Amino acid sequence: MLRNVRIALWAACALPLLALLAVAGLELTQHSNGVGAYQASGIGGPFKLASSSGGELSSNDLKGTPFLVFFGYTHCPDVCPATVSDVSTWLDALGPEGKDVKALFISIDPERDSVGSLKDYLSSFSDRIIGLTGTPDEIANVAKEYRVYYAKHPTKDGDYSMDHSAVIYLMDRSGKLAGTLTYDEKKEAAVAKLKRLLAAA
Amino acid sequence: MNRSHCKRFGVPLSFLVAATFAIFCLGSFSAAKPASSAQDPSKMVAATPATGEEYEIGKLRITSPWMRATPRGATVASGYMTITNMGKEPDRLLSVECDIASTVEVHEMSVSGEVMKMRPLEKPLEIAPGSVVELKPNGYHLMFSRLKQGVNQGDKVRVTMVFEKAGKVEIELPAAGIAAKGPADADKMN
Ligand SMILES: [Cu+2]
Repeated sequence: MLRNVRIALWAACALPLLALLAVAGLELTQHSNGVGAYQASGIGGPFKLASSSGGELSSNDLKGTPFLVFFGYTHCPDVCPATVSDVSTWLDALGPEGKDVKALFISIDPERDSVGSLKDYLSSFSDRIIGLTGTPDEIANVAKEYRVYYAKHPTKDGDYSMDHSAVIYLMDRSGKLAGTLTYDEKKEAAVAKLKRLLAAA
Repeated sequence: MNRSHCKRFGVPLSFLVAATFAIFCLGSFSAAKPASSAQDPSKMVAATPATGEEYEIGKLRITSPWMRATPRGATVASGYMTITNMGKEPDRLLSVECDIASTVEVHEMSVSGEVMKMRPLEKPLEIAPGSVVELKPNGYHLMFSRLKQGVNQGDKVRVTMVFEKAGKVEIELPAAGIAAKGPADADKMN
């Protein structure tokens, strides 16, 4: 009985996995020229959001500046603080030669994340990370541009947690997607990617 | 996630999806795996490193408890540990209490595509006989909600855990730095 259940569970996991691998293989052949795949992706777009370092930051201010951007929320127990501290570590490791690259943390929980709470929260990390928030509409818009998924999940005590994409985008000086980092990327790999981002025209 | 959404990300996401999916699947099986296939709990005991806290309550052994310091203004935190059931009967974690949080629940973090989700367990966390259940980043964790105070590096956060069979145990979670990846980082500073 237990054995059958286990086999069924394995199959349930294995089938979509195989399907995904098939998809991955297909795309690999379609986009084997690497960079082109990103340029066609259409990730990113114009925004103007309230900044934890005062005033507003808009995509226009970022013209000619390579930046990394990720989405999260301050009531997140695990992945967000881990990501913010990873990004801090990478920026520290880049040192002065990496001072050009900007790091943006955009809240997908605008109801709870004010500019003040973002500023407080980020004070525990690298001072180079800029927190951005806005109205629910502004956030919905920027999330859409970056194809970031987020959704409220109510908890028993009347609070809520957020489901959200945990990808980190690397945007080049022209505002195009140059690559991604994952929240558990190895430090050396991440720093190498950031250096490449800086070196790109 | 639908196909067209997936495709926009090109190659890396597909791999990420497949890889995380695989890890997720493997992870969810290891939690309930009987001792015969992988970890022999009696050997685990002998292999327990001298560093870090260790607790024994009835047939349960709790090793490597730790948590991370919280960012300023944080309202939530998560706690981690490894629980080994050396007995012949399953046990279940019924409740957890802690002075610094209004509620403590067992949650599970999961990745689907690149989307992170966190959910409270619907049933009490079970520690099957002979199994090793890990509470760790991106998996099961103790979820401290509505923190009454922040957690600083070097703090030892006292937690009371009640198990169905083993009973009540008080343990301390040493707080590692905000960037810590595992319990070793908590030991380093002690
Ligand atoms: Cu949680």
